[in-house]
Amino acid sequence: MQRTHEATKKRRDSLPLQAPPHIPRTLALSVALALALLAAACSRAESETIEELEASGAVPKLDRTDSLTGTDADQNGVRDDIDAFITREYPLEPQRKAALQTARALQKTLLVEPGDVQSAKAAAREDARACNCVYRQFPSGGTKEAAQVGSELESLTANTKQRLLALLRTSKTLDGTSWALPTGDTCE
Amino acid sequence: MKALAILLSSVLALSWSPATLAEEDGADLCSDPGVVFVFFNGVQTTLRGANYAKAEFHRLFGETSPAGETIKYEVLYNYSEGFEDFVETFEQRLKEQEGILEGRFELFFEALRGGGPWWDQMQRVTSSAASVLVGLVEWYEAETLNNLTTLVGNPPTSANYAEHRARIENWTLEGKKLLFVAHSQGNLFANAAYDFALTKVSSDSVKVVHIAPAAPTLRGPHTLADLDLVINGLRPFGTVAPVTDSIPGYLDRPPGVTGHKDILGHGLLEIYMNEGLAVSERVFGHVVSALNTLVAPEAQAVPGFITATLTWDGAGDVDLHTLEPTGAHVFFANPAGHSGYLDVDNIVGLGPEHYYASCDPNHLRLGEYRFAIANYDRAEGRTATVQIASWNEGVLGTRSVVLGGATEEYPAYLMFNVRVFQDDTGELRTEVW
Repeated sequence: MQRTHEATKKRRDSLPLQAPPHIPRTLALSVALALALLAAACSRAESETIEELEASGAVPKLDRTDSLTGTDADQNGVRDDIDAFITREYPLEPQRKAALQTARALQKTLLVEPGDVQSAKAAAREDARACNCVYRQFPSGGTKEAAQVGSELESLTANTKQRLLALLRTSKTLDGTSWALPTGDTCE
Repeated sequence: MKALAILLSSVLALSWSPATLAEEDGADLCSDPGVVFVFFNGVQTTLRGANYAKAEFHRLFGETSPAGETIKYEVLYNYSEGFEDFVETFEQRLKEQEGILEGRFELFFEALRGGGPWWDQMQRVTSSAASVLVGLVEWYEAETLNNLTTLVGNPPTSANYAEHRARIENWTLEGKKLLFVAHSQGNLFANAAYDFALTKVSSDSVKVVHIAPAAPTLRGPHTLADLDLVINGLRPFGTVAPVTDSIPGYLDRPPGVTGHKDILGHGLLEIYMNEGLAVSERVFGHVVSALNTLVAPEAQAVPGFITATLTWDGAGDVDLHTLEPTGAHVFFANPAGHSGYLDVDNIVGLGPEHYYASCDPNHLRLGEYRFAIANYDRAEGRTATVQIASWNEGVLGTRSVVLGGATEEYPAYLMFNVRVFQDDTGELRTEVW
């Protein structure tokens, strides 16, 4: 156990138990909007384009072809653009391999036939193995948190409408199911 | 009929290659968890999101309980109806403002949290990105509230979640302590699961921790942030648990481990498990308190490398039959096989029946296991459910069948094939079909 009840109790005792007045959502969002616009206006570099952001690596340059799997010239189960992103982001071999395992698992989730529960469950288990590996290779407090690695790779994998819908369909197929987080070394 | 069953067993045995497991110094192949940490995911959670939430709980609470027992982390997953409809609206919104962001679906998940590093970059080069994002967030909040309100009005039923119930049945049978931790709409499912679990074990053996509960009723302590715009937005439509904690405004919040803040104040990893926010201490305290007080129920079955659990929905005698890789036919008349045992048999009604394959490498056999069932007597028309699970990966599959007439010892329904094999690294794995 990494947490103690005593520490938590101490913190809890110092917390207000009564709810402060609820802030209307429209006000909160409007304030956020105004500040976001202000921040954007202040930092905007009008001469830059999204293409230049992609060229500089500030945002990833992605494969937007029609197929679910995109271009995978080396046939390693990972789209070449995601391969390049991983190579650039994770120079350490164990982290690179863990990210590739995750990308491969996510790509497989796109290929599950709608309603094929057994295949969807197999994909979920494979993603869980990859997730467990990422947490082994990206310890908390490092250059990037494991959770961020996973969420980025999911976004990269689901970067077209077709791919995003495929990813959500597989999740929908898993509705009402159960699976575990495996333990041990699940890195490939 | 008994002769037919034995004949079937013999024929299958002849058609299979003998299978053996490499000896491994007598080490136990499985880790038997004393506690199962069961996560019920919240609204708009993908399978990847569910996996990473489990992994975060594992990172924070570790593999050992205060009593020194192993903790296993599993999800009882639910999908938010209509999630895929969001994609259509997202596509339309990206086409606004001269379409500069058109087709960039990699921004979808960041947008649901109110932004992130890639949106920040987009806002650097085009001011229209900010207005697109805020429009998306306002629309997303309204749609999420709409979907949650619908779900609260039509809560999940047992018929929709047979796999969840069969899993709980298996856990209680094996004497596990159960900790249910639910976020958002997962609380509706956790409540149903808790009520079901109480038909099997006492409240000492199962606890619920509610996080940002969308459910109008609670089964345990809860945490709710004042700026959770999703759950607090449900107040006009019905009963919502009281706020327990204040959180800073959006701009003052530290990002969670995903690198995002969540503008709606509702995210599990961004808000409630964000160690930079005091609200997380309440959640962690509830979890630790539950772990400290859970009491193990009496075990009626033994966990295994793989297990099969059979239940059915009424009176009658239904039998679980296992055909092991060596050809051994394990059923009520022959409960001990070469690899495993039928350790729970039921002849009255409902079940369960339970088979486990040994975690002892000297007993576990590699190869194909076949699981079949028979209506031995008085179970015609009953729905029988078989769930196969592995010790490390959880449920491999759950299938149900409506039984025909009695066939006594003849297993008329083949439910699952499971292959136990050693992969390239030497790890023992399973494959099911």
